[in-house]
Amino acid sequence: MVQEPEPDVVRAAMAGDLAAFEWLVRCYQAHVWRFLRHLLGDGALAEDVTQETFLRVYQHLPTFAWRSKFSTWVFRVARNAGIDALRSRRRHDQLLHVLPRPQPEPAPDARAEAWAAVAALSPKLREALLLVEVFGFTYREAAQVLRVPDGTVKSRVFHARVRLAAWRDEEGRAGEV
Amino acid sequence: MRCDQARADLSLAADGELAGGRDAPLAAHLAGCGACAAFRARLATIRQQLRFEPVGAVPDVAPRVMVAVRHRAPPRSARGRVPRGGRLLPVAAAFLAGAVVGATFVGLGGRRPAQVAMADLPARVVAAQRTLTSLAAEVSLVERNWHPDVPERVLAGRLRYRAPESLALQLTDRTAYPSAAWARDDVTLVVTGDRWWTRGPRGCPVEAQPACTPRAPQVRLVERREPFADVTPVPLDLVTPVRSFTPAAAPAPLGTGRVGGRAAVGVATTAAQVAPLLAGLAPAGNLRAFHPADPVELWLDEAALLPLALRVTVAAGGERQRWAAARGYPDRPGQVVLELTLRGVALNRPLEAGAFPPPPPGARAEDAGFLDQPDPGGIVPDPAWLPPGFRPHRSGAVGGASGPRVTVRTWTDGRAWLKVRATGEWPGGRLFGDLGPLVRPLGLGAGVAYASEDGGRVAVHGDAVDLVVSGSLPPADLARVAAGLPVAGRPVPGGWAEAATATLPQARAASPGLLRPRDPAGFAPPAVRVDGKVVTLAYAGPGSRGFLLVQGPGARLTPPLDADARGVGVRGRDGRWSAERGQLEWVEAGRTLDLRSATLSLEELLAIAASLEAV
Repeated sequence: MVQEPEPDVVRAAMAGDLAAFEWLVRCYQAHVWRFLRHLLGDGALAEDVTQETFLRVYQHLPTFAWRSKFSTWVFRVARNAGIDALRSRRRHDQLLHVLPRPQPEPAPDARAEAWAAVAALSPKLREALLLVEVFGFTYREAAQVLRVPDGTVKSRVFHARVRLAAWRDEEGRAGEV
Repeated sequence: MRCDQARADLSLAADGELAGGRDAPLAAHLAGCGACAAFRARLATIRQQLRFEPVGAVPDVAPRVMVAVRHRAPPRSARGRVPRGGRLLPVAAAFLAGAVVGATFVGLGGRRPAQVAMADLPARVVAAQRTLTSLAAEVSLVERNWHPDVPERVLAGRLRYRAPESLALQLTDRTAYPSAAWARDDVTLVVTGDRWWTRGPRGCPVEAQPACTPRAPQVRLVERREPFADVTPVPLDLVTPVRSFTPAAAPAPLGTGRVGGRAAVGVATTAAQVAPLLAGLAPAGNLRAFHPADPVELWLDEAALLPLALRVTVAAGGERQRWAAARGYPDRPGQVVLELTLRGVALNRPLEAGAFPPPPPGARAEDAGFLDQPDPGGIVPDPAWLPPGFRPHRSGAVGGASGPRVTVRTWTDGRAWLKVRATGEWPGGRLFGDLGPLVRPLGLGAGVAYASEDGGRVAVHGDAVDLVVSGSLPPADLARVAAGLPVAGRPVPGGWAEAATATLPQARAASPGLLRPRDPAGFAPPAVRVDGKVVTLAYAGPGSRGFLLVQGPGARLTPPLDADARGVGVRGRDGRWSAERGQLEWVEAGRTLDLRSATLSLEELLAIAASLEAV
């Protein structure tokens, strides 16, 4: 689960304290990278976008308004950076007439299969599922990250789960043949 | 219950969001539906597989991020770290009574054309600090647009100062707030030598007001404080704005007039330049920010060069409007958003008893760990040269348990101060003394020293000792003090952060055709770095003004990172401007150029770009 930092640390970083900011980077970089890796389906790209995320966090810290949890806000910045990267890649891929599809890392176990199913989801379903199922955000918090109504998150998470369950069914049947 | 409804409820239940009263129908459905029971089991399995994922090695981006943010100008509201500022231009609002505000500026109607030599004003400000021994004044502040529901805040109080480092600023909030829910911004800062304490409302974003501010004021007390400590600063620019005029920049004259009965000289400057002065008004509390480009009218006592009055006006332009909108400030171009006035000024007279009140009883003290010692030992050598009139002030040592033990000596003359810190235990990796990532090498006889971008700190890396010289003196004087230390300065070792530091000739050799601004007025000579074929020139000006020029080989720009990036003509070529990043980029003669600043406007950057010439 994603932890909240001490408000004093956030305030110090907002006031320009670079040591406090570095502490925040170290607190969140693993969560952010993991989120982006699954959102983007590319570890190396996720690393670049994680770096970009924290540069944006630094640039926008003065606008953090405490209307949401700090972790939620960081994820929103990460998600926006990830979507920008996806759009950029999509433009690139369209030039190459290739449909973007995150590539799951090859591994034979059930966990890898589950992640392969996640990678096969549309980005909208994938990001909602990641936030709620993997990182433990509430619907309300995930809605703040994604800037959509709570009900939309609820619906997307449900439909993502239905697809994951169905995917496992198909995989299972394929395995029986 | 239908299966699709049951599965939707299972999804909600997995997240703890199933509404009360729906458990029983769901349980009843599951008891009779094997497919939905299997769906529930799959959800549990999926969660277990996804949430407990072994992720292996996670890349550590923190070092790269920190290098980037240290090279980048701070975000706009965080400009001006200590000693180059705290938060960007936050200002407590305050005031006395309406008449004073009017009198302050309207009363300057008799301005004469500029008859004051402005070119030497920076030098006069630096010199004036040495004649100041004490100050008493009444302070009034009016701050506008702090919050949409509070169009004007009014604070009033007093300022007391005794050289070199005792200061009390007490402000009482007299604002008529919409309701009792709003916390008053009563603030106190008192520094008396080794004790520093503040009381005020906890810092809290404006957008979240009024609920976000705790009702009880916060008290912070620090004892055994190092003299002229960065972390517990004394806002000395409130009594003489040395840092707003160092490095020297001749401001535009406004003429002369009278403020509070005293002869005054006025200058037109910007919020970025007077950032240290504005930051001095914010020892605690909830304060608004100003845009770096906001015009500032500053009136200084004609003799003592004490700030008597200051007025901040909202700059025009779309970028400024977006900046205000992002912070929730209902600013209009041309609107006056801050008025500061000092009245009843008494200079160099005995102060009343109780001028520096003690902290509230029971306040828990933080121990800063500085141990005063008249003779701190031989690790801080005697400088061969001190500015005439400087006398020893406090000396001692700090640190040792988890960090290097640092010996400190200070000298003062009036409000002017000089400090040498030294340690024999510096672990290396970067220069001792927090100079920042970009430094300037200085020849010191047979050795070398390094100056910070603004010249306000000079570090020497010796064989067995590392030193840093700092103070409220011109950069040339600090360099002269460093040169007079009997320590042979060595170049930084190859693995240190400053190893890529170079001189301009070295940078030109590494990057033939290197461009630099032609005589940028009001900026110190550049700090230069050469990283492979990429050259960075850093120019620091007074206050928080500064810019970076990064250039390296390249035929095209990388894709823009910001949605707000737009095309702009630069030196007759197509360039790109990102207001959010304060970054101007273009390609010229096989090299990419990146000119960036958090405190200069696009117009200023374009003027600098236009002046670029080969080194």
